[in-house]
Amino acid sequence: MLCDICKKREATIYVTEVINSEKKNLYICNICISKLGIKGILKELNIPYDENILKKFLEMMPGMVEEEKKEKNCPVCNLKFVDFEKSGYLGCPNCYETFKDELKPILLNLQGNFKHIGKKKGEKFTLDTSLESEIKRLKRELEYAIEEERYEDAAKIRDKINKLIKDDKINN
Amino acid sequence: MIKSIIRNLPKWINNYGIVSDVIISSRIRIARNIDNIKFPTSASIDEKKLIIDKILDAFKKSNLISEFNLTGYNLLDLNDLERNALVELHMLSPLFIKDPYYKYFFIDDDGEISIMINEEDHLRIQCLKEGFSIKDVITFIYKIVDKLEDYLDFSYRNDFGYITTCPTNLGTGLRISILCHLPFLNYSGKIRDIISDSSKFSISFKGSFGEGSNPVSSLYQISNSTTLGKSEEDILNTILRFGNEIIRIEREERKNIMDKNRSEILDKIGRSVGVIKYSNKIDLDEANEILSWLRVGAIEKLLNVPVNLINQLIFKIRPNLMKIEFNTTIDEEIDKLRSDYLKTTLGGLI
Repeated sequence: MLCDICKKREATIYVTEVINSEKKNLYICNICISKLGIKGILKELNIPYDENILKKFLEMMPGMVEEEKKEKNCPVCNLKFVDFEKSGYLGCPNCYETFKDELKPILLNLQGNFKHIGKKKGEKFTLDTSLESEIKRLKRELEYAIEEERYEDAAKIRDKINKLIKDDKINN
Repeated sequence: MIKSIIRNLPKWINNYGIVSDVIISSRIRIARNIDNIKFPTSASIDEKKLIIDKILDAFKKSNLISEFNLTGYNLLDLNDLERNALVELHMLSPLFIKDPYYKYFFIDDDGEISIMINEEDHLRIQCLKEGFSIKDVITFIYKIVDKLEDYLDFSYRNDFGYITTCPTNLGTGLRISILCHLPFLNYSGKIRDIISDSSKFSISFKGSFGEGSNPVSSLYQISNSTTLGKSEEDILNTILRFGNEIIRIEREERKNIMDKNRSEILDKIGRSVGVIKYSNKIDLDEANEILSWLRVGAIEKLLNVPVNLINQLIFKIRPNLMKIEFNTTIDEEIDKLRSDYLKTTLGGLI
């Protein structure tokens, strides 16, 4: 069966979906899905995006994504993702752009986070351990947590801020 | 200069710092890379030369060399013994000396600052001071790093922060570590629970000078295990809090054990003195254990030995430093020389 998108290559993914009470079979090839992504494919085929269909695609894809991920290489230094997995070293600064998506789960695992909140480039380091700066930092963390929809973390951070403010009032 | 630091040891080993009964020294290192150049782990020879040129140029323009009394060395200018001795003194990393080509480093006159070019990252800037002094060290080291940033285009992204070769250093590129002597927590075995708890606080807790979770030296290296998603101050505060807690519980355990098990500890110290006085050969592990007990004796004032002399010996007895001290390259002679050295140095004191 040929791919519904390019109509040239053999399809590798087959998904059945009921759209407007009509059963529809979707055939997609590796190349099109890596080019367009799932959202792009659905847009191309005029299929409304929902979580259910996304899940169906993902169920069909894990092996393939894995293979593609490993073969992907950085256009600047040629490092393949599989090389990074072996050595733990990236090849050049641009690798972080090339492998941005692949690195996020790894960073989450290694660092518990994938967002830098430290000193920005060009800023000078100053040591400010005052309560004010601690609250400022926590507020920034709170913003990130809300942005990333980590509401449980957000609630904890909010409580921490309130406690610091309350303690400060008692101490003064 | 480098030869004199190796022979006479860096300042942070010779000086006895604040709360040095528990925390011998503080070390901070920062990783940076220049944008648009491959990391040293995958760079070609020409690219490695370019990295060195760019960084040396920045050092010259920035005046950092005279401001911090730095001397630069090509790693090839040092012999194998000297390179390994600097690793034993924590001034260079094992990875840095593994392949000595296209490597360059700076060291200051006191042996507190070391700056490695073409280690895992283009730049590794490190500063060591005695005692629990991480607040001073962080302010000090950023004077160098921030000044360099005026002259080098460091690789940085808004999402991931400062870019590093290995994602374990990403973000701040900051690693703060303290070298602790915890003989009583080690003796009672309580150290095991503390180590297994430490990962919850993003802390790495490792035995130093000897492998495993209870090294005979009772020396531990405590450092932050994460560098991303936290500010430099957060990381500093984590180590400050954890370090203070370690000081408190080690001292508490010392008091408990010295109250309840005093004769056991006196026995350990006495046996250590005996080995130094009457043995003919001492291997590294045994020396590490002996010095750990002598340090306890010195801190508790049971022995008339200055604690910082023990600190010096903890480093001096390392194999490459021994070889340099005695001008030998023969491995088989080291244990005998170590025994002689400890006898001579501590002879009148124990």
